[in-house]
Amino acid sequence: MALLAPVGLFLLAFFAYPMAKILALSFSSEASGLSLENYVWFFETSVNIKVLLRTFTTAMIVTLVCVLVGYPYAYLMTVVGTRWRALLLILALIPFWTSLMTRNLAWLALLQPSSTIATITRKLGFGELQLLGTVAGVVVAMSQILLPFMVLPMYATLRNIDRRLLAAAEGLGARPSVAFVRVYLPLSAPGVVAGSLLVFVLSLGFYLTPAIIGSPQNSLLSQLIVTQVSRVLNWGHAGAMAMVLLLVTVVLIWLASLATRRNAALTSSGERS
Amino acid sequence: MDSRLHMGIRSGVALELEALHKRYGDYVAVESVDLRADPGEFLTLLGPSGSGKTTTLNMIAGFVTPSSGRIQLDGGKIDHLPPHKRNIGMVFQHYALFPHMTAFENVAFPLKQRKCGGAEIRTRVLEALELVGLGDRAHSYPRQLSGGQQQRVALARAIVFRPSLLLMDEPLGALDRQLREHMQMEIKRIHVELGITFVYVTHDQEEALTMSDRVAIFNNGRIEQVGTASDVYDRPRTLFAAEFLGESNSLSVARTCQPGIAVVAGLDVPVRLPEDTQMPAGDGATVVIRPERLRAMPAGLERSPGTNALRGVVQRVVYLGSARRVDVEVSPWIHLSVREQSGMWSPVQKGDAVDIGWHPGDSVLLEQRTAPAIVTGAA
Repeated sequence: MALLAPVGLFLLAFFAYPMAKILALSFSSEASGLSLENYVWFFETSVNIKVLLRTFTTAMIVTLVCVLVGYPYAYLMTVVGTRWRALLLILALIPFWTSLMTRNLAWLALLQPSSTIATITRKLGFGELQLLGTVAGVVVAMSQILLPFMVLPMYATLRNIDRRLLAAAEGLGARPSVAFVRVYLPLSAPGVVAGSLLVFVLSLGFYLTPAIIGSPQNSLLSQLIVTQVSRVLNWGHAGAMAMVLLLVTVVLIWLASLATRRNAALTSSGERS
Repeated sequence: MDSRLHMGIRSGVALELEALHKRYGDYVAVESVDLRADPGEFLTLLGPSGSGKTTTLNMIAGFVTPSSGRIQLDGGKIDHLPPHKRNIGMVFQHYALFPHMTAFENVAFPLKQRKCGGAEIRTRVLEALELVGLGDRAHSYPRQLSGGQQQRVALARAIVFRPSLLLMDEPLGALDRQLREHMQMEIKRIHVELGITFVYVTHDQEEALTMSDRVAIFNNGRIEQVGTASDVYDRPRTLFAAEFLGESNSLSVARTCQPGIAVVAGLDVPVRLPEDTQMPAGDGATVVIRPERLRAMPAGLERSPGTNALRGVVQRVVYLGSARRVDVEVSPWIHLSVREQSGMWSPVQKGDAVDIGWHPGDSVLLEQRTAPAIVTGAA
C-alpha cells in the first residue's frame, strides 16, 4: 500500500481536486450558491446541442474510419512473418513518437488548396475538395492521429485468436468466408470494442486537431469549452459543458465494458489444452 | 425423427490413398504412401512426431494439398475439393471448439452450414450429445467443461452431420492417463455404434494396438508396415516397426548357414528360427525377440530340447509394478531384456549367471542390420 502513496497523492492533487473544482463550478452561479443555471443554459442554447451532436457524430465517424482501416491492418500483422510484423508495428507506432503539434501542422500543409494532394484530386477530376476548415478534413486528420489507439488493442486480441479454429470450421462445412464471419469476427469483437472505445473517447475531447484543421463554424465541444474559459471567462458554463461530456463518456465506457467483459470471459479461457 | 445415428445402419466408405507425396521445398514430409481403409474399418496411423502421419491426415481432410498422388473416397477422387466440400468429420488434439459458442451451438455448427431446419438441428444435436454422454451439458461453454468433456463435444460435432469418414488427430493426447483409457473405450463404442470408417492418428503404440482393426506404422514419411495389431506386434517386418511398437531385443546375425538357423554375430551361437522363415539373400540380418517371450533361468539347468538359449549375467533388475525387467549381458556388445509378469518371476537376481531361453517360433528374422552393427564375426 505504501508504494501506492505517491501515485495516490499525485492523482488526488492533480486529478481529483481539479475535477471536484470543475464539478463545483458547474453548479455555481454568479449570484452565488448552488444552482442548475449553467446546465439550463447549456441545454437551452441550441448552438450547444448542435455542437454536442456534431462532436458525437465526428467521434463516431472517426471511430468507424479507424475500425475500417485498423482491422485489416491488425489482421495483416497477425498473418505476416516476424520481419514484416515488426515493420508494420513500427509504422503503427511512429505517430506515437511524433509530437501531436507536428502531425497537426503536417496535415494543415497537406490539406492546403495548393498542396500536392489537392492538385492530384483536381487533375483526377474530383473537382475542388474542400477539406481545410471542414468536418471532413478534421475526420481525416483525427483518424490518422488516432489510428494507433485502434490498431494496438485490436492486434493484441487478433493475435490470440487460434487460427486452427478456422480450419476446424472449414472441415465442418463452412466456406472460408463463412468461417471468418462466424468464428473469427466474433472472437475479434473484444479488440474492436476496446480500440473503438479508446478512439471514440479520445475523439470526443480532441481539441488541437479541430482547432487547427477545422473552423469556428464547424467547431467541436472542446473548442466551445476553451472559448468559454479563455474568451468569455464564464467558468460555470465551461464546467457544465465539461461535465455533460464527461457524463456521456462515462456511460458509454460503462456500456462498452459490459459488452467486453462478457466477450473476454468467453474467449480468454478458450485455450485449455 | 431419424434415428439412424443411433442404430448404426449407415456404413462407412472406403478410403484409398495412392502414391501420396508431400514435399515442403527440399523436405519430404510424406513419401509415396499407399493405404486403404475398408468401409467401417478403424485404421490407425502410428508413428513418432514428424513421421508424416498428421500430414497424411491433413491431406485427407483437405487442409494440406498433396504434392502428388491421389485420394479417393468411396471410389471418387476428392483431391480437388476444398475442406468444406469433403464431408469428412475431424477431431483435433486441441479440440478446436469455438469458445464463443455453447456445446449445443458448437455441435449445431456443421448442421447450420448444411442448411438443416431448426427442429432437425435440435433433434440431431441433442442425439449426438447423448451419444457422447453430454446430454445435460448442452448449454455450457467450452471453458466450463473439463478437457475430457470438451473432447466429447468435439467428437459429437464431428459426427453430427453423419460423415462417412471420421478423422482423429491424437484426440486423447492432452488428457491424463485414466481419462485417456476411458475415452479409448468410448471412441471404440461409438465406432461400433456408428459403423463409419475411422482414421486415427496417434504416437501412442498402446492406444494403436488396443483400438485399431489395422495399424499403419509411419516413419520418415513412409509406411513401414500395415497390418492388424497382432500382425505388426508379433511379426514386425522392419526393425523400426519392431522397436517402435514396444520393447524388443535385437541380435545381429553373422550368417545364415542353413534354412531355419542363424548365427549370432560375435558369439558363433546358432539360433533357431520359425520353420517358415524366408532366409535372406544378401547379408545383414537381425533376429528380433520380444522381452516377454524370453525366459531367464539359473545357468546350467536342463532346458527343453529345441529351444534357443544364450548364457549371460544379470546386470540389473527393474521393478515395473505389474512386471519386472531383467537386463542380461550376454557379451559386452549383446544385451537382452527379459520381461517377467508379476507372479511368474524366475529365481534369478542381480549378478547371477543365467540361461536365456526362448521358443524358435518367437524369433523374427529381419533383413536389416541392427543399428550398432558390431560385425566382428561378419563372414
